[in-house]
Amino acid sequence: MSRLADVLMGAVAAGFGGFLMVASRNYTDLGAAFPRAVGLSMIVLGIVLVAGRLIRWSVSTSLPALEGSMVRRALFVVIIAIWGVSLPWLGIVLASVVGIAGLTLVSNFSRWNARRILIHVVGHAAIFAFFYGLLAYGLQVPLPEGRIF
Amino acid sequence: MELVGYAAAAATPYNLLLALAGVTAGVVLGALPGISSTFAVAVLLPTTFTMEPVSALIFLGAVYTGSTYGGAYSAILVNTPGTPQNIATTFDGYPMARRGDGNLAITLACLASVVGGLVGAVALWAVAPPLARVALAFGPIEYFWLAVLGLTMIASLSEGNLLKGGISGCLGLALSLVGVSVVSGDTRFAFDSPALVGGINLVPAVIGLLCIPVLIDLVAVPQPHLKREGSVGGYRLREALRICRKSWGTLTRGSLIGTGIGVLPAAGGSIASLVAYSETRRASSRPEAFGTGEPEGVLSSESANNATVGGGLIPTFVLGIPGTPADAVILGALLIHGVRTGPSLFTERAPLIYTFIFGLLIATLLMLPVGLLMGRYAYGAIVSISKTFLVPLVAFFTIIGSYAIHNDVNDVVVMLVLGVFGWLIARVGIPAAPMVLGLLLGPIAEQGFGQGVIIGTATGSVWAQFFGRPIALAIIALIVVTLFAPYVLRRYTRRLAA
Amino acid sequence: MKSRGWLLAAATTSFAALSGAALGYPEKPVVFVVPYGPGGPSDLGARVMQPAFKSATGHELVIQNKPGAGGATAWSQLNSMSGDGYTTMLTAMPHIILQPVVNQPSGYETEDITIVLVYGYLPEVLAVPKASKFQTVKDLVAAAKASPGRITIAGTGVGGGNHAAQALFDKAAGVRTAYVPFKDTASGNAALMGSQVDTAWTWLSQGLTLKDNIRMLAVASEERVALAPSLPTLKELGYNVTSGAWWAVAVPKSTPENLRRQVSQTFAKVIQDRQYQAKMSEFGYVTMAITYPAVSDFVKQKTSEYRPIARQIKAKK
Repeated sequence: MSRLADVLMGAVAAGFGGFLMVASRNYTDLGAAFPRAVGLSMIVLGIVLVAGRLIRWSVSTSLPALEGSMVRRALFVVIIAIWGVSLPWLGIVLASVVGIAGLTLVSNFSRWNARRILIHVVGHAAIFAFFYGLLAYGLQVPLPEGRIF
Repeated sequence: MELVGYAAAAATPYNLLLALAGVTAGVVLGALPGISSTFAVAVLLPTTFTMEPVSALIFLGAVYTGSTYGGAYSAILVNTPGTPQNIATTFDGYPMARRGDGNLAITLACLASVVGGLVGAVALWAVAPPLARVALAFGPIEYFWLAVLGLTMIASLSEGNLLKGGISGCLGLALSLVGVSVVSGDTRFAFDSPALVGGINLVPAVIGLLCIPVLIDLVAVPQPHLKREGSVGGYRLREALRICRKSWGTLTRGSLIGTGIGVLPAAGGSIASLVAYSETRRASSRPEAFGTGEPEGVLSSESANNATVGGGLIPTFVLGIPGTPADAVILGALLIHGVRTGPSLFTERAPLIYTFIFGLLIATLLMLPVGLLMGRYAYGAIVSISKTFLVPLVAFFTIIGSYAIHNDVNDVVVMLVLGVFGWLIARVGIPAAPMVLGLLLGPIAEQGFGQGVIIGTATGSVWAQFFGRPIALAIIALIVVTLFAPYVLRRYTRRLAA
Repeated sequence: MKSRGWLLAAATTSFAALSGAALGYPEKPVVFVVPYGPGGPSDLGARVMQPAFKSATGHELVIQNKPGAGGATAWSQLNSMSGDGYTTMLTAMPHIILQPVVNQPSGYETEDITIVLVYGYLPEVLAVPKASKFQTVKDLVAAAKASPGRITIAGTGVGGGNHAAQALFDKAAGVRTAYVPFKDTASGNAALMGSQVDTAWTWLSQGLTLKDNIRMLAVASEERVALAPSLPTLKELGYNVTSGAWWAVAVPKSTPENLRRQVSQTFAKVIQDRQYQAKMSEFGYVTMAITYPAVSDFVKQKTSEYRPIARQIKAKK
């Protein structure tokens, strides 16, 4: 399985290297030098990787098994993506409410009871308020303000 | 002895307070991913407008050195360098934290930072003008070869699979090519997107590649993030001091490399710590241990990056050219306060300079108690905090850190995309660290290369430029040794054993 | 008759005062986006403005650095920012005239940038290392003529102010020099000081600050500058080259007319600050104030001046 992954990856790398070389056709000589060098390197590395795996050279590194929940991982990515991308629309406060709440749930493995919920709400609010204050007022770093809110 | 006078001037209650406040603020800001030393110094610059020049300098210098150390916290605890100077600290600092030695790593980082900072400050005091003159001998070609030396580290970061590490490094180099080329003016790989024309910014990319994969795997399992191995709590100061005493060579090497590279204009703590790490690994009797949680890795990186604080001030003061990005802001502070730079600074304005250097020494020494104290609380907090607090908090910083530097949502997008990408490639065995290296060193290598070609073409021989300059040849020799010494050594010892 | 005139005058004045007071600008900190990294010449000029802004308006001027693509990243994002009068951006000419032609795609057109105030001018200078054998511009030109393409001359980036100066000078002197682009002013000057390059186009401010290690041969302004009275202008030496950077305050296109005027007048007032002016001239900047709406004519004039040069640079690429 990992051999197949390596072969695929090598092919992708070589393909990407080829793309770099083709795309740099339109650049000046000096501007194309590095893209071509990097592209060529990737093609070589990719081909060697594919060839090596096909000739059954030993796979030197054993990859750690993927343990844990893929669903949670996926949810994490979705939520943090929403958090980041919604910043211009929702503004820092609202987007963070969504993000913090969502990520708290995604990383939760214990039972919820009233006490835990309270600790989390107060704790998150306090931490967020502290850093918001530090950045917005202490350091005068403009934070995103939403268009809707 | 005017020296006593200068020391006394640096140790006034007001200046002492500023040194303390600066170091503390620096450590806190540096620990936050996305807030670089340059950003921290720039953001605090307005507070110094009403101060005397010396006090302003002491404060800003303290912030600079504090932030260079503070970045080690997030580097060690969540694999995310708080500032670019701490990238190399993640290589061994994070593995140490994973196996329960996080508090040891933080203490080591503190000790190394203090030692490095002191060496850099002493260099500033004693040998600034001659060192600055040497720095001027470094031209584009030398920067090119230095970047190549840094890139050879990809080999050591590849954990045995050179091909995959090489691919990762190339990916990083490819990313660094996005945007307007400095030497040719081509707009490359921007696909008509104004967001890409500015290139891929280093800080959000590093946060994405190094931190997001950690978070993705954090939410998947219920086990706590970092082990609390045994009951070895506290500072583990004695243990750390023992390690430092044993590794005094590493500390010296790191501090000297840091000072030396800091002196080179525009080469900062990030490059210095990478080169120091690489050199320490090469000279070590067990190079395979590096990357798995070898304390010397942390020592080399942290001593080098704090040494660049003093080292970088050398060209800043003597030549008026910033030695590191943060020094550009400090230079601005000098000019705003009406202090003219140049070698005359050390003679005509000796009181100012030497009082400041004493102030910097004091601030560096203050970093020891401040750093240890804050480190303990940082470690304690991260280790005991539940994931339902840790994950959202760190995620918050990845987002805000990426956004805040340039007020650009595009940086957040870059961070997220590279974050997921970094996790995916780790699944097929491609390490993320070489990609960071390629992104960081690519521009330096390409600019040096392009400038060298233009100058070489103009002066008649490109070959003479690249291979005919003494300093460049020395660096090339070092590259060859770094790449081939391990193999030669292995074959030699094998022959001996046979 | 007289009393009615009085009444009219009083009414007009109070109306003007009221409308000014009603707008009350600024009522909170104003953001000034600098399209370069911290510490550079334009960033410094902006930071020196901060204390003056505070004392003139009572509010902070918040500097935000947004470097990238020689300024193009920030300038291409200008019109997506809020036009509430509290978001302003530093722009530079001829950069915004050259970039859309020379470095495509830059993400913006010169006409997209709404300038409300031109507040400073920094001339460029031709400089050599202290130990250089060139004592005058004539030496340099003679050497360049004797060996075309061999004299190296440093500058910041491709298609920027320095590059334009090099193109103009080459044409005026009838020579061909080899332009070596660097990523910023500091890197180029470091290379110059180390004699890695023969000469450099840099800014008067750098020439003054670094006078221990570099020597200015000539300045590319109309007349000699007060801070370096013995420095000849290229014009008087027979080379019709004037080059420099004009710093301006720009606002997003969506900013309404009255706010544009307010921003313009506020900044114009700020730069009247005695300390600011002293500091700026110490650095070699010439302070000036071309306010809104007259500034649009200035911009148009500069655009027509520099567009042909931009095309010339583009053709040579």
